[in-house]
Amino acid sequence: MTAGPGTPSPTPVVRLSGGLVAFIAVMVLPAVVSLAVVGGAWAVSDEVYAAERAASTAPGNAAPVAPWKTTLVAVCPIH
Amino acid sequence: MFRNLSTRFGVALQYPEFRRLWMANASAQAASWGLIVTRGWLIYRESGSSLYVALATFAAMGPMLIVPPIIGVLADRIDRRRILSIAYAVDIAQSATLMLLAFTGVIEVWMVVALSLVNGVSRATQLPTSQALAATLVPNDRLLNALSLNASTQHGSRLIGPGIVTPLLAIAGAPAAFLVSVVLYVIALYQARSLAPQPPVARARAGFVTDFVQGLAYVYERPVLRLMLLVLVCHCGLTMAFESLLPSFAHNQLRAGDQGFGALMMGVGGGALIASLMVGGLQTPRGRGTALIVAGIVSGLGQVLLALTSSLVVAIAAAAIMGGAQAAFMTMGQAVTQSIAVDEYRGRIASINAFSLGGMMATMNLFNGSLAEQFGAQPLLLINGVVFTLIVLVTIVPLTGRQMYGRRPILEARAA
Repeated sequence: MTAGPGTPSPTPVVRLSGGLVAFIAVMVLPAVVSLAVVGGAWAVSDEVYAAERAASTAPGNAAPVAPWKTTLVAVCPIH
Repeated sequence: MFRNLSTRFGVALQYPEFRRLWMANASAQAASWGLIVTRGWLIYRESGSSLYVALATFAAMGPMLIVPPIIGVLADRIDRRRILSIAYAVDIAQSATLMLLAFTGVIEVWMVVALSLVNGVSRATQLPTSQALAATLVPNDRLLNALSLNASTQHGSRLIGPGIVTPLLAIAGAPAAFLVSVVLYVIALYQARSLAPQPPVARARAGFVTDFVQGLAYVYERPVLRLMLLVLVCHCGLTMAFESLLPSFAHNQLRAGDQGFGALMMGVGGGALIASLMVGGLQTPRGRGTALIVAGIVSGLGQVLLALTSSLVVAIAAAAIMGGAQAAFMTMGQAVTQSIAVDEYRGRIASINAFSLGGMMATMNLFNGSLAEQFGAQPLLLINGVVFTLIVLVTIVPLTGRQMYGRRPILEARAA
């Protein structure tokens, strides 16, 4: 039996099985990762650029920057 | 002969409602690409910084990773024509604002970036909404033709929009180029307003997140739909995330520099435009299935051919083959997903297409770009191309795969 015109069809109940959770992760995670990379690079870029400038002007006194921050800025397409 | 060709490749245009949607899409896409070129030109002239140009481009593209899940749910709740009209009206307002700011000379880089974001949100609204709407305006057996016409519009507008504004920028400057975009968006709005109202399927409402998860669950519970989306995600990750690899490939392997990169991108765009028109001429489900297999294999092997050559001419040919096969595979894949889905889920399925596939492409571009620094672009192109070819071959074997490729009828098709 189908719902008539104007009659709301019932909301289907979603059972969160392991397979569905994995499927949602595959579909959603790539977008989340790319946003996290851009947002993360935004947050740490000032520190990385400051360290790069310091390293080029006074190599001995440059404050160390965590390698993951440098990598994050390097892979971000807008930095 | 022309009548035969238009009947075969433009058959969906015989439906007046779809023709209006197609013209709205064509105008809006050309306006959007015209804006990308004009904004880039203006920002570079004002700031001399490529970083700001990249920032504006990201502001225009980034919303594709955030907005579609929301729009997909909305497109299944309210009239899709209304959503499109609002999006076009917003674009008229933002491009008219740019025009006035440029004309009065008060424009600053941050203003252009902010309005790029507005344009990006609007564009991320238009793409899934018009895909879902197209599926309701033509019968199911014309859907591939309709989507192929939409896809060829997307590829063609990359040539037409910049083709109109580039000479105008040189002759009359940015205000005139922005005016072209305003006019094109007005045409799009007029066409969208001419569409008949598209009342949504009545159904009980849940929250936004629940509705979106229901869309994902709907896909998950239909094996052919699920497999098609997973293969499309793999396709985007393995063969379409090449843009971060091509500059280094053109420099290091082809020794052709920036001009070589530009020629490769033109090859990809030209191939995509031709192929997206060609697939619209496929008429039987079996023919479409065979074409889907061939396009998938050629998409992978085209990338392998590109990786193996050091001749610029061969590389451009390989890029054109690869671009053509990619566009054909994506168009046919999206036609499969939309033809299986019932109307009350089409908005969400179009949004999953945009959100998941765009996200995978963005992530793999980041991943490829950083790996290419260490290993070079060639092995990545090669490995990704081979892996995707194998994925296509493996998916032909199971029953779900044969159904997806049109070898067997899809039994669950259109079941709510």
